[in-house]
Amino acid sequence: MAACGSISDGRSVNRRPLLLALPLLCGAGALWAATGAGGPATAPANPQRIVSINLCADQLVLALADRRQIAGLTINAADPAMSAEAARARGLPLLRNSAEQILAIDPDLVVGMPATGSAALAALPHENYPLLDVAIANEPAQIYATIRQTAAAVGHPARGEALVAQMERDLAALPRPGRGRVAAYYQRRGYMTGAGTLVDAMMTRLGLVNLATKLGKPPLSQVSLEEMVAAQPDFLIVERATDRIDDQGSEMLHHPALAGIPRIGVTQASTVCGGPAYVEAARSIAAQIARIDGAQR
Amino acid sequence: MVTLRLSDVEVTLGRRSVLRGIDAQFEAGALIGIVGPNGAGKSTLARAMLALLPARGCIEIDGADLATMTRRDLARRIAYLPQGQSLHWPLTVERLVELGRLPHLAPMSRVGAADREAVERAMARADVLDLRHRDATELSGGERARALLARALAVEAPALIADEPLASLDPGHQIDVMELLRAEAAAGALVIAVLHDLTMAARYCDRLLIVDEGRIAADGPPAAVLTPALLRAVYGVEASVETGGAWPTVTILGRG
Amino acid sequence: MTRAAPRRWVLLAALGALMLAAAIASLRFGPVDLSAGRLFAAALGNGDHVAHVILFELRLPRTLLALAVGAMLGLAGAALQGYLRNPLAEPSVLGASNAAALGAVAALYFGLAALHPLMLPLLSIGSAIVALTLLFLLAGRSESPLTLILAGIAIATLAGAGISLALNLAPNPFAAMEIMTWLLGSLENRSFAHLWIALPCIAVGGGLLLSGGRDLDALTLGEDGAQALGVDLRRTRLRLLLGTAIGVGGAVAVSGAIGFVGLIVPHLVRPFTDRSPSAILLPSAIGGAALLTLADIGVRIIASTNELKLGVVTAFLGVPVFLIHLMRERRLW
Repeated sequence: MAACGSISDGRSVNRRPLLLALPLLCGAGALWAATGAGGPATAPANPQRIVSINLCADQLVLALADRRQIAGLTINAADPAMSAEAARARGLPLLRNSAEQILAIDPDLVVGMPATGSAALAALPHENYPLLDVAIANEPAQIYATIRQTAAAVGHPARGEALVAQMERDLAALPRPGRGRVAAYYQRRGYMTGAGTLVDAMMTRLGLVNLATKLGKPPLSQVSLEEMVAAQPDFLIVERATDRIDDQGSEMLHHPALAGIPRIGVTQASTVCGGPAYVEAARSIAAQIARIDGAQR
Repeated sequence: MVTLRLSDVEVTLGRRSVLRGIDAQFEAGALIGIVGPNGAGKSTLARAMLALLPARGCIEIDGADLATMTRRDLARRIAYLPQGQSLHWPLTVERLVELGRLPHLAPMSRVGAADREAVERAMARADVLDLRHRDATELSGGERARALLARALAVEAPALIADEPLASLDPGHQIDVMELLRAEAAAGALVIAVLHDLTMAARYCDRLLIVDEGRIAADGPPAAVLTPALLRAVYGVEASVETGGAWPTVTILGRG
Repeated sequence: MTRAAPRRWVLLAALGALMLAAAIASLRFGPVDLSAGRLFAAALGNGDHVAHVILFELRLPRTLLALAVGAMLGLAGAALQGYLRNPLAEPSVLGASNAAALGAVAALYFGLAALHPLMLPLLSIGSAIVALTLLFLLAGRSESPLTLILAGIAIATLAGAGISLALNLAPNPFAAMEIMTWLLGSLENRSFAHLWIALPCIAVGGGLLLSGGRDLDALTLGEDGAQALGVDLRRTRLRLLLGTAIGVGGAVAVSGAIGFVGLIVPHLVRPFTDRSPSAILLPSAIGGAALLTLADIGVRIIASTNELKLGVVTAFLGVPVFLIHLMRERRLW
């Protein structure tokens, strides 16, 4: 029996150093993983391998950079329903937000909204790619700023200025068919967006009053059919993608109770990203208002 | 006056042959007892006569083949008092007895005056009139047995098959039920009762069918059928039978 | 019988009045506060456009649907309890509701409903038939009520998982957000188009179940006793299967799977009847209509960012009442 006791004691003595080492090793590994190799590098003046990791950043890069500069866009860049520059994106490489793909390309500029803190890049802490964080733009002044910022980063500042100038001219030439009438941007499941959003800025530019502002609603709220009927806006702005009923969210937008309110269609491509397509979207809405007014006369 | 005839009836359940070569004819106006050891096939025979089991051979009632009859038609000719006292819902006795009129009700009609009279008669005969508003599931064993019997009587069918109507009844109530069955037979019905108790069977039945291992071992008046030799062969017991009194008295002496 | 007849009329009248009151309240209350005067004027035809649209296009179809779906669920619960002689039987417990919802989801989110408008109710009904057939196969012959309930829970869980899977696999990226609507039920934003889908199915299914009351009464004496009274058990089972599947299938295709209505209403109604299964059928239908309409009003009145799902309210409304009755009655029946 004494022999048994002594054997077990011996084993535990031998194990102890290993047990102590384990947490130390884990800690060291974590520390190594967390620190990475330092902050992002500075971008070259004329990057040749630009990767965009955000759909809205795609729009800017496609409008301002040369095709041979673009090494990767997001998977939705070529979908016309979601990307205004879809035509230009055809033929360019589309990435699936995978760290592996980014690693393989070895970009010299990563553009995102923002790029810092993206999940794919967080998986590659030892690579320091030059990053460009583009701010979210919800109204023309902000859009011009992001255009200039991106144009400078991709090495074509003149293009940026030209685009901004064009947009300013086009926007100034836009009519104001709204004449103070009320419009509601009504989405799936009854969501409605209010002040401070892209569509809201467009409405104001065209002379429309946002129903959300009129009712004092927050930037995002849910409005029941009854409330919408009671509010009787002059126009209902709906996404074209909901024209086909394929779930209860879009079915709601086709309820007979809303049949009396004239509709204006917009695509997700024009409402999600504040970018060069802003003008086109505003023009489209203006044209639809004009058509509705013409039909009613 | 109704006649029930079985010709070479055979019942197989699963792979087991439960009844073989059953030949019998029953005429109205008699109380016929079916007795036999456990598992002999007594209940199976009763259920076969009601077309509740698939059976080969021929079963005819008044010359009409059971197999070609609709359930409703058969229900109007033979009333059934099942084994056990299953009652799934807490109906009043009156409502329970009323169920006996179902075979006579037209598809979407309610209970009529004639049906109510039949219900009254049945309750009177079974002596449950004073229980009519009681919850049938809360009655004592004897009271419930009478209530269920009243339900069977309410059908007013020319034939009645009762499967072990004396189960869980005390001797007094057992006599009540047997008296009732005999009175029905005397009034012109064909009454068949599956019984466990040989004494009761011997006392009240005009005719006994002894079923043993799926066959009819004996068929005739109790005095002729209940012999020590037969009891030994069928039940495996030593018994003495006294035929002196109004009915044969069976005394079981021991295992044979 | 003579004593029960006037009691039955009193019960039906009381339930009918409750149903009517619930329906009127359902037309009166909603997210937008409209005065009774405005609504009345709109009902007569000389009201303003807004009140007219809200009353006739939004609240009226919703109320009618609540009545129809509630009636079907109450009736199906009463019929299933009667046939299976099980106090816990009802379409959602036995898995029929979830199965019907699975059929509806398959029709809507995989484009089948776009092929033909009848595809939705047909697939919903078909799934319910499959589930009930499976249920009867698994537990129909068993004497123990527990086996039946366990089989039902298994089927309901399987169907529920199927719904989640289907919605996640659906080509529509927003489909997965609608799982709760299908599993808990909702009558939000329904229109007359939905009513025309559900109503014929409910009418057919309800008619089948109501006509089978007598067979259920006969089953009081057990299967042998019932057969000996002239009941064709196969036909009874078929009638129950089809009646439940068609009625519940049509209802669920439009409202999603709503639970507890079929479980609770028969129990609430039973003490006021002679307790025979046939006597409970019609009162359960009317009571179910009233209960679901009241629950739907509750859903609209309880303030929340997302409209509460009906199944949540029916559970909160129904289960406490059920428990109180259970304790008072001292027995399950």
